Amino acid sequence: MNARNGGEGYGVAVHVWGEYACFTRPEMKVERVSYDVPTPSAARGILESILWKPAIEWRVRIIEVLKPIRWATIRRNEVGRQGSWKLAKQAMNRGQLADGIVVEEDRQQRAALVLRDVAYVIHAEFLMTGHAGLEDNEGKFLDMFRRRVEKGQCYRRPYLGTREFAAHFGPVPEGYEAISGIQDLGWMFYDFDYSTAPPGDRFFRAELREGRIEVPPPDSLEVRS
Amino acid sequence: MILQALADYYERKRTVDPDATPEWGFEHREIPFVIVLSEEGEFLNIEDTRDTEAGKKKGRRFSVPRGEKRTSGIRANLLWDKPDYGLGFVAEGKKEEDGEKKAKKAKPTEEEVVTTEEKIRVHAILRGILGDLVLPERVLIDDRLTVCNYVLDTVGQVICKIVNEGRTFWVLDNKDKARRRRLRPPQEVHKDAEALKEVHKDAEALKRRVRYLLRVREQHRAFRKRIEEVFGPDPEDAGLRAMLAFLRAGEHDAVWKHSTWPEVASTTGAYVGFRLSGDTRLICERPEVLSGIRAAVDSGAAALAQCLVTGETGPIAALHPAIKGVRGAQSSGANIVSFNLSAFRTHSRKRGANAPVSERAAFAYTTALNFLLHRDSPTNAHVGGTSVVFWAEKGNEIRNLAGALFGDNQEVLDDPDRGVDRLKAVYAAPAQGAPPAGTSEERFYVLGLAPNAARLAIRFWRPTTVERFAAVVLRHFEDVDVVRPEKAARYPSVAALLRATVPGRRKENRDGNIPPNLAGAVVDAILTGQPYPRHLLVAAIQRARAERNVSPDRAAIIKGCLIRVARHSANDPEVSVAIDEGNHNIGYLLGRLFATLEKVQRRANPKVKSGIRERYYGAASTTPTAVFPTLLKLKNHHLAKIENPGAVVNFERLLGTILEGVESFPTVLSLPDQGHFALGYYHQRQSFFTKSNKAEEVSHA
Repeated sequence: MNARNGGEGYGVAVHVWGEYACFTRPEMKVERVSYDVPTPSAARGILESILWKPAIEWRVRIIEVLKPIRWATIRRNEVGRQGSWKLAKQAMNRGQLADGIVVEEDRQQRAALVLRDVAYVIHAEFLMTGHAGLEDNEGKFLDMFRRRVEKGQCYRRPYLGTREFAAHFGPVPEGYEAISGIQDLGWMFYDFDYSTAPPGDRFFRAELREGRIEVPPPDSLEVRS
Repeated sequence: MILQALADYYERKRTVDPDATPEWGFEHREIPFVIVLSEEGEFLNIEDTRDTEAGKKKGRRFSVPRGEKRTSGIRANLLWDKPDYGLGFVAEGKKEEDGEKKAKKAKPTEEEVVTTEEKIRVHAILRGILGDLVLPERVLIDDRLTVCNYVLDTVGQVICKIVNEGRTFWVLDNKDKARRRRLRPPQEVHKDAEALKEVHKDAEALKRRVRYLLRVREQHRAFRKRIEEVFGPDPEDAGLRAMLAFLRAGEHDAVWKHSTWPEVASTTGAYVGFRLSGDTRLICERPEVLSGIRAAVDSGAAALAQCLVTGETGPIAALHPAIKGVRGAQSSGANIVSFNLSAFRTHSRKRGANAPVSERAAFAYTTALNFLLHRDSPTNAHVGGTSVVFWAEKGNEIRNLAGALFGDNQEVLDDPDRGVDRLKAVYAAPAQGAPPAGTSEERFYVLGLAPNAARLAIRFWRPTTVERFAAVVLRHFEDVDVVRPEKAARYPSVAALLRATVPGRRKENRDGNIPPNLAGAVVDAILTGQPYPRHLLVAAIQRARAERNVSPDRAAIIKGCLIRVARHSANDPEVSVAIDEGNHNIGYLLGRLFATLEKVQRRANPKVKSGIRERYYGAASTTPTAVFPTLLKLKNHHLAKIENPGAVVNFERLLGTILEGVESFPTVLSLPDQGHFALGYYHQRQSFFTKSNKAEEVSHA
């Protein structure tokens, strides 16, 4: 694993690929439209599915796109209502059936414009947090991550944007090539801002250069209100 | 990216062509009637601005302050509105019912001043119902709405009592408390049910009427109040002063008496604007007024956050303006960005907070999209169930062509080849060494939208450059080019191509039968240069089989599909524009054979109605071995019947040439080969047509 990221922490890289991906644009959430490339938030999700402890905090630095960007449109039947958390809790406590959602009553057909046949290399680093104990050090987690990637271990299946598009992951192959070309992607979703309740959004100016997106660190460019 | 490109387009359009789109805080609206006022606020005239266009009368478009979204509350527009707001016009009949429904939904206002005029009117209605039972001096409606309601209710009940007991009564006024107590809800059983119902109905009608009257008065007052709020009760501008004077006058009898008034009263959507006599513009377009409006525009009540379109912090739009013009969506407009159900929300955020877009940006992108989707604009095309929008970074001519080439633009129908020829002239120029028009790196955007009730789904989004777009479009037309009957249009629009693959007699019926994803997929394939969706080939062949007719459009589709598939797998396509004698594809040869056999039969029996084409096309194209031996036997009889020996020889020669390439009849033809069959059939028939035309020319010469 090399740290081509130029960041401060210890760096890892992992190869991620899948048949479909949908990194949903926030403004087109209902009839989903994906971004052309993964969001830093999605990349973080993948890393956290493979390895996460309270002692570390992932920072995505670079996302590389290995395959040409191709699209597919799908239409799915979903539902319009959210299940009630309160009723579910009640059911748990009482041991009784709670509220259910009858699809026929709440059906919503939603179209989605998703990515097809994708492959990425994610370069990231992690920083130690305040929860790190005396035995925690960077080397330990680096090793853990490397072993898990090689074995294909994860806490939960990593996914490309939405849960139904599961991701495959593995060590970075030798001599891979990213796509070429320069594309300005405008303002792209960076990640959630968990300092407020409900969490807010943060955006950054994304540019795809020769297949690479440089993800700025959280405290820099993007503004939020 | 998408919203950003649209917002940028809006900004650029504003600088280049300011009258085409409204500015922030305004909208373009058709105002069919304009009230002309004198400087003192006297009513002078009603102007009808309408022009008859395509059979419908349309008012002139003005730039007016943005209209309020109204449901059941009372919200007045600024300086323009419908007659009930603008003039206090009370309609008879149906309008009244609508007004009544709204009045019921709206919360009653506390302060209500009933004018004398109202009293007299209501009284007249009452008298009509009750005849002489009502004594004029005692009439009733006091100064409070609540009392009014009470009295109306009571009147209704009292009327019941009267019918039953047959005695006179006093309709009370507020001071008559003693009497009021005597009027209790009737508890007796009413014997004459029918008569009672009648009386009840009238009382109900009376109540409705009064409620409606009061609501209209409230609307008219809100209209005046709005002006006073924005500009102050004593503005300097002459136009505003005239308006306020007019509105404060209260009575607008001069308006009702004007000769044009009945037109206004009977037209739906009859918005009225106001103009000062001597001015050419509306009062809301006067410069001093405009600056006042602009100052008042920003609401300031919305939450602040970073806008994901512009990146700047600003007030976030809770609801985005609607987008109209997408065929198949709600007529009141649909939204790309909407979060109307709980399942669509993130972190339980409400509405626009799910995707922060500033109000200005929301206005910009929706205005741009509405402009591009405007019905007569060449920048959009409806292909199947998808609406496609095209725009360029700068005003580029090609985007006007694009709409025509893809959809059913009227321009195309009149002179279909003009679009493609122009395209070729401009963009094929590089091949001849001439420099291309416009910079080649100029960005060009294509956006496909499909409706889903009140929402719009994005079918595809292709940012590209002008040059690349021209190239792919030309490539598409090249691929689907087939020889056509002489007078027919050479280049079919994409919409026409899709319609050729579905059943239906009329255009509109066919449009409904096109599978929803197909249109989007086809346009996408055109834009990327990828093979057309497989379903297109299947549909074209099946339709040809079902109708036993390979129309030029179907032949075009088949050729295009086959070419692209072959190109994609680096094979020889084996398809051509016109008949190709050297093509040895078995499907192609069999198609030609079938066409020739059909021609032979037709020559022998000109009057045959159900010939081999009607009966054998399907089987011939799918299972040749079952059909062709029979047909070949039949042809001998047909040939024998033909009188002209020269023709017989020609036919036999042609058949011989074709059959040379056929080793044996296959049991089944694969789908691509069925495509070749259709093409061969089509090419051969076209060649017969041209031959016979030539023969005719020769004989006439």
